[in-house]
Amino acid sequence: MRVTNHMIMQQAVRNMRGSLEALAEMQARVSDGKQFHRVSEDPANATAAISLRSSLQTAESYLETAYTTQDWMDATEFSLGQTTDVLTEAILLAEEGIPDTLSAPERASLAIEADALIDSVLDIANSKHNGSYIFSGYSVHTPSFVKVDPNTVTYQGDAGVIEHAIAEGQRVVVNADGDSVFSPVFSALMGLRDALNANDSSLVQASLGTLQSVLDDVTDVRTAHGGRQRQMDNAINRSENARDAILELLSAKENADMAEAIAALAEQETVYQSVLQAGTRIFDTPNLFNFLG
Amino acid sequence: MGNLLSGIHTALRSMIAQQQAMQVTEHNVANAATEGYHRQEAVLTPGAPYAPPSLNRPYYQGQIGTGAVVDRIRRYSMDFLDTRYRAEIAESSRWSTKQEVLAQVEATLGEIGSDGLVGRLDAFWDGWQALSVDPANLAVRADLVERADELGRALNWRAVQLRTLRKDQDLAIQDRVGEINDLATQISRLNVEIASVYSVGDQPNDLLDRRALLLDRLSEVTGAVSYIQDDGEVLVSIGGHALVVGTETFQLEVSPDPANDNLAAIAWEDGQAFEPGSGEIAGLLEARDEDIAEQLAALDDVASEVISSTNSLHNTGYGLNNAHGLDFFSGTDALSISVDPLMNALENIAAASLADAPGDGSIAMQLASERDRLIMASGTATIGAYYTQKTASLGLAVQTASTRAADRELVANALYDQRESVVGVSLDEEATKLVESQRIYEALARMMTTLDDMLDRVINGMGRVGL
Repeated sequence: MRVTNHMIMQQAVRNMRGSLEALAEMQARVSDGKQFHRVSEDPANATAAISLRSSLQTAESYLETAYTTQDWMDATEFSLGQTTDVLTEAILLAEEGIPDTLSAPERASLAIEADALIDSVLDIANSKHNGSYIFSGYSVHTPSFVKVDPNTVTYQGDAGVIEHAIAEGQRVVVNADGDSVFSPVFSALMGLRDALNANDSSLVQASLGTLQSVLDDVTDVRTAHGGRQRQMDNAINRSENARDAILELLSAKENADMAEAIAALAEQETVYQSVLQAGTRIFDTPNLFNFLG
Repeated sequence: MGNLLSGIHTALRSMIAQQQAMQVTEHNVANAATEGYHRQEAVLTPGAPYAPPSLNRPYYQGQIGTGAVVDRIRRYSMDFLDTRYRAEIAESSRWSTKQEVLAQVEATLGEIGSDGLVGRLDAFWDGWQALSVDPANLAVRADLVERADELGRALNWRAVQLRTLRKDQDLAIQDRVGEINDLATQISRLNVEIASVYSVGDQPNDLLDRRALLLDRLSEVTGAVSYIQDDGEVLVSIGGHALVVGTETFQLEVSPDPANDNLAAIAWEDGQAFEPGSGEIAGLLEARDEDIAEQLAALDDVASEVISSTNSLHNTGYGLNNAHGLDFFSGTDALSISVDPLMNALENIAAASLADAPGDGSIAMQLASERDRLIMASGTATIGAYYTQKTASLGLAVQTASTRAADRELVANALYDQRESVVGVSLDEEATKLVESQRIYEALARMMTTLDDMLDRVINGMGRVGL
């Protein structure tokens, strides 16, 4: 093939341009450690990375919900625990009030203690978590119970069942129904107080039975709640594992293999230098005119 | 018998021919790097011979030569390579133009960074998720509105940017149309000059170079095809429609197309549709009317689906103040989407499914789970997946365009080299020719001196016997 000087120059320019382009790309890869900077550099992996990032964000949002939910449930669990404590105390009071040897004033003083327990339960039932009454159903701004008079405690909440989504398609009930948990407690405690005030051993005996069955009910609610808490803990565990797996995948897709990237960069630098050297030779190559005359 | 004076003339004629050859060499050297220059060569031919006259010609003496003359100045060319080269640069510039435009689109959208639209969508749904957990919290509501605002702004910004880019390509297209018309006029003028030079039997070498260069550029712009007629005029057509016929040109006209956002529609002056198969203008048209339009449509799809799915659920819910039946977003597409001003009164945001239920976040929870609902692409994709797929298709388009451009450029470069190998100037060759002409010139000068000596002998030495 007939070669002309212009052709050689053009080829030298083309080679330098191509080599410099490759060098720039590799430098970008090394400087921020990312495998690609535009979707078009690697459409399959880049869009996989976008999807993974989205999954990651979703997983983190669900996890945040799950942590908040855990706090709510812990608050409920704490209140239920306190309630069982109060009920156990009330049962002790009732047992103390049964013996026929007890005098009326002695029973009356026990009745005062029982009355105090009603107030404790009222406090517990009106527990707040993060500014919301936890036993009022949806009416989180309304105190769950109000004591109208010594014999009446009214539920002011509703039967709303609060659910939180803790994973895609997975919902968990967060609250316990205040009315069904606490109203029997109040009436049992009032029954005890009234029986003690009436100084009637058999009535006290009967209220002991009621208290025990109420305690059983509260314990049942607590057990069910505990089950849900365990379910939550498991879900959190799974979500955390899933999040870590996504993070790992994302890093595998996005991040450049640094050792490889640096080696490739060094190699390309050598190539570029050689191209430049070859270019200089071409510029220095004499032609016949240099030797004439 | 010949005469001495005619010998001197033979030498003179040949020296002039060598001088001309050296001039052509000089022209070649001077244009060694001129784009589009085809090397030239002085084609020498023996001068017209004559039979010396004599009275009775007792024997045949044969014809006697009269030295060398320049027959013509030859221009090296490879017309069939031109055709192939032009087809390749047309395709290569079509793809590289498209690649440049789409890479701009890609960089503008920047979906791979932290500001990607998918991230904004997720943040928006995360806002609802947070609200579902703590529906009565005003700070959470304010955060949700902020996130929704950012989503709206992200969509608006993209829609505006893409429209601007589309408008830019439209201007570029109009520039190219002007350039095509201009090139056509220049080519038709050259046609006139070239034909007139040919008609007097000369070689319009440098004019041919200029015209070939214009044809190269025309192919690059529109993939025009040319055909050289016997009289030297060139016929040029684009997509089967004539652009230049001899001295006549057919112009392209631009008018706003109401069916296409009032962007430029291109037609021939006779009303026929303009269909460039390749070239920069084809790349620009494809980018403007296919790829950018597709991305814009995707943005509008996302926006309208976000608006309608959010509003339809939000309408069924109740706010903290029992507000009911309100829209969360206003607007209809990516350009107009914004958070409804009513939502700035945070109590209006409907998280609850019932009135008077501040602790109920079930509507918010349903809204948060919209991210997982398959509502796009006829129920096969979530909004996020749909948009990611569109991002992928843009990325693929950029990749395809740059691969094609690179492939075609390789072929075009190879053809360029092949053409250059025939028509390019080699300095070594020219130096050789120069030396050759110089030596011949010197020899001829010596010849002339010899003849002069002979004449001297005849004029000054003859008839002076013994002096």
